[in-house]
Amino acid sequence: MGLSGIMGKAGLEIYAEAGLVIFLVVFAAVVWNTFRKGRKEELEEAGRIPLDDFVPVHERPGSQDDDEVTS
Amino acid sequence: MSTEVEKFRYDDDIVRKFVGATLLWGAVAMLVGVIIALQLALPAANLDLPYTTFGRLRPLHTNAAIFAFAGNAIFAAVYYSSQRLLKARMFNDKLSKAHFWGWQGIIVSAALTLPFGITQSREYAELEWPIDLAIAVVWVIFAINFFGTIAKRRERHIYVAIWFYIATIVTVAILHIFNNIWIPAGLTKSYSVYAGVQDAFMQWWYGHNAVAFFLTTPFLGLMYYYLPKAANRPVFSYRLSILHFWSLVFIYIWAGPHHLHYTALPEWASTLGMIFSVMLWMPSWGGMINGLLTLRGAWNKVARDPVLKFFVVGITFYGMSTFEGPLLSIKSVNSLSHYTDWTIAHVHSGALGWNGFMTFGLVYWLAPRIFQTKEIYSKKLAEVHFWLGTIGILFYIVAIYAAGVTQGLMWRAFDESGRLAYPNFVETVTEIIPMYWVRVVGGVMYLVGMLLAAYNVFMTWTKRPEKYDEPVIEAAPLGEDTGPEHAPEPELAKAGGMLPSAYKIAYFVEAKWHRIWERKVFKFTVMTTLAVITASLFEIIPTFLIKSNVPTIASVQPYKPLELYGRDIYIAEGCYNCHSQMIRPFRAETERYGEYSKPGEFVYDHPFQWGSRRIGPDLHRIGGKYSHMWHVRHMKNPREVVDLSIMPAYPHMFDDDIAYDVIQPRVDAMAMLGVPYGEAVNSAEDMARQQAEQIRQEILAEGGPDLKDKDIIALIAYLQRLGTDIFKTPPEGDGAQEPTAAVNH
Ligand code: HEC
Repeated sequence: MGLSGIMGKAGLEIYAEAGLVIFLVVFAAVVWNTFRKGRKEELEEAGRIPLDDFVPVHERPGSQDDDEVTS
Repeated sequence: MSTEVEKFRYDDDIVRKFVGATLLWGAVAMLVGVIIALQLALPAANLDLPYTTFGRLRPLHTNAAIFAFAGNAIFAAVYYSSQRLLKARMFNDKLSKAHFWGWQGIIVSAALTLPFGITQSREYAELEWPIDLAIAVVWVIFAINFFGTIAKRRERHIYVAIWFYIATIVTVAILHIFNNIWIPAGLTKSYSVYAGVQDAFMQWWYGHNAVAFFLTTPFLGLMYYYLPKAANRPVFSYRLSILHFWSLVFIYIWAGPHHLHYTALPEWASTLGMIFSVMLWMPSWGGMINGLLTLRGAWNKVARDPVLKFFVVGITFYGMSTFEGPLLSIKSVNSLSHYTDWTIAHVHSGALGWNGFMTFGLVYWLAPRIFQTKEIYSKKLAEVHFWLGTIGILFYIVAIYAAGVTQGLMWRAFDESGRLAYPNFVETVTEIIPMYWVRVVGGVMYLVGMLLAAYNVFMTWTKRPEKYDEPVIEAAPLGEDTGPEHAPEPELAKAGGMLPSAYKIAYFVEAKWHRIWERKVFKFTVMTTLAVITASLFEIIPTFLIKSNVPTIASVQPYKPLELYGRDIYIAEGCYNCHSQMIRPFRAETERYGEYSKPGEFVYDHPFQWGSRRIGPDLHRIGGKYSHMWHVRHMKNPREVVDLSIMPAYPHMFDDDIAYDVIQPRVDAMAMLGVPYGEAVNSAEDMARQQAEQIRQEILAEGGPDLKDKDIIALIAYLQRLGTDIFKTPPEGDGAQEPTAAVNH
């Protein structure tokens, strides 16, 4: 029995199908997280990163989480 | 927060190198493109030399365009933008150099092997196994250098362009490895471990995703960096770009099953695959609109700036091609478009329009910066290039769309009496020759534009300062990440009146982990890798299941040793670039070519030879159609037999001797792959000699020349065997273990 025979009999399809469902859910969560109101400012700030190549930077204020528990 | 500031410099030397290589190889790729376009309009341009025939040069063209031109452009874009987006010099200068020289070495070895017929015949993965290994090594070097840079970055948030680069690096590695599993049969020859239907699925899983992850994601990454730079404004919606990223990574690969209708794939998955293909329209167009809207309020700038012009047209072609792609995956459209020039038009609107124009925009934007000249040498020339290129593309694709649809319709046309309206294949070829000439004109325009760009950048380089200024950049190192790293303690949640499990759900639903991905590269990369691998398994596993689903046909036997050698000539000559071996179950095809192809007929085809474009007729049932002598005359000079043929002549097959000594190792390699070669494992060479002698005698009997031990004999042995097994009665008993099919005459 070759590789194909072994793979064929291993019954792996279910993993791929479960994977599809999991990733669909993850994807939905990502979309929701990206577009929910709270993140707008932070992300629009991140969108400006390419524009300051040569500007000496300190850590961006926006890269700190303002709504999170900080240590 | 740390207040210390670190000082460092960006490495632009490596960017200059990659830009130079982009222009050099771009010119080569497009020049070869023009040559092969000319060969189709004017077969004499094949020059009757083995090294310059269409079948050998076409892979050189595609590989040069994809891996040398687009590849070097990607690396230039990545090295320049990543350092700036991450506020760090590349991880290691030596690795950068090794990457550059290694990649150029691979390109040179491609140019030194493909014209000599050293090829795996897998489209866009033709390079033979030693070069494949070199590609793997160079890619790993690139990956270490890139991830090393990310690790020492000074910018917390990883900008979306970098995400696209990460997806590219990870996925291309996976694609390259799985599509190149072979058994070597000598230094310049290997056989794919997959056969027939499986091999075809593997190859097009690769092809489908290579377009996504070599020609799409890195170019989107560079779009999200260089377009805002050139327009001097942030991207229209950063959030849309995040959505764009994830939908491509998730949906693109899952859309793969549209290649797998009618396989072992569960029905619901197949349907989902089709839905995903159509869903791809949304993110792709979202991305295009996001790009174009970045220029809102700056359109007056576009009129004045060639860089923006190239970007705008490039992005528009991205929209066009990603609209057309899903369209072509719809079965009824595909039944017309497949095997015709429609596909060629589609890929060129992508390659010339999207990849080419994004590259030119990139190069014109980079040149004055990396050569520190403030301005490009000549804005006017860049303008001229823009118009030459745009009109060139239009000439090219309009003519080739027309050629594709015309030929597709002619192939399936019936007259009133119910017979094929154009039974003579060559009629459908001569009809489109004028359009081939228009393509040559369009291609030449595009090539001239490319040369102007090279000249313009070269002249900019001559204006460089004596010593490049290397500005010192200052940035604070990243302190401890204070972000939401772990799901907060349950106690904390309890204090907030929440059950621990409820908190975990909230943690998931609010997708805090996604914010961690956005800053934790390792996790991010692992997730991307997982996404790609899971989706790929989903596609690949069914192809492994197919073996059990492909009904075996008892009368189908392995190729005899000489036929196998003849098949290797067919592969080396790149006949698959012009001929398919896959007759579809449509009446127009069975009328023209004969019985339609069954999956079970290909179980010994390592690699498969289905082809993707019918510049000449299908050859699956060519066995026994003509006499040996017909093939002798036709291969020597096709125009002697078929007046208006555009097939190259193969006089060298009448000079070159069969290399009998390589036959045994090749049969052995096949046997290792599970092909039941029986007795031939010990006596391949003798069997080959016998069969060659038999065919030689038959040709003599037909009044032909004495072709003792010439390559042409082996090729004829193969051609006469093709597609004949299913009409034979199956061998009995032990005989099934041996190659038994006879040569037809
Ligand atoms: C540039 C494209 C091109 C390449 C490369 C090419 N062919 Fe052809 N071939 C054609 C065209 C066009 C025809 C139809 C006209 C003719 O019969 O010559 C044809 C016809 C044929 C036929 C006759 C088919 C029939 O049913 O009448 C055979 C056999 C054939 N080719 C074999 C080969 C082999 C073997 C190779 C590789 C060594 C090859 N061709 C390479 C374009 C090509």
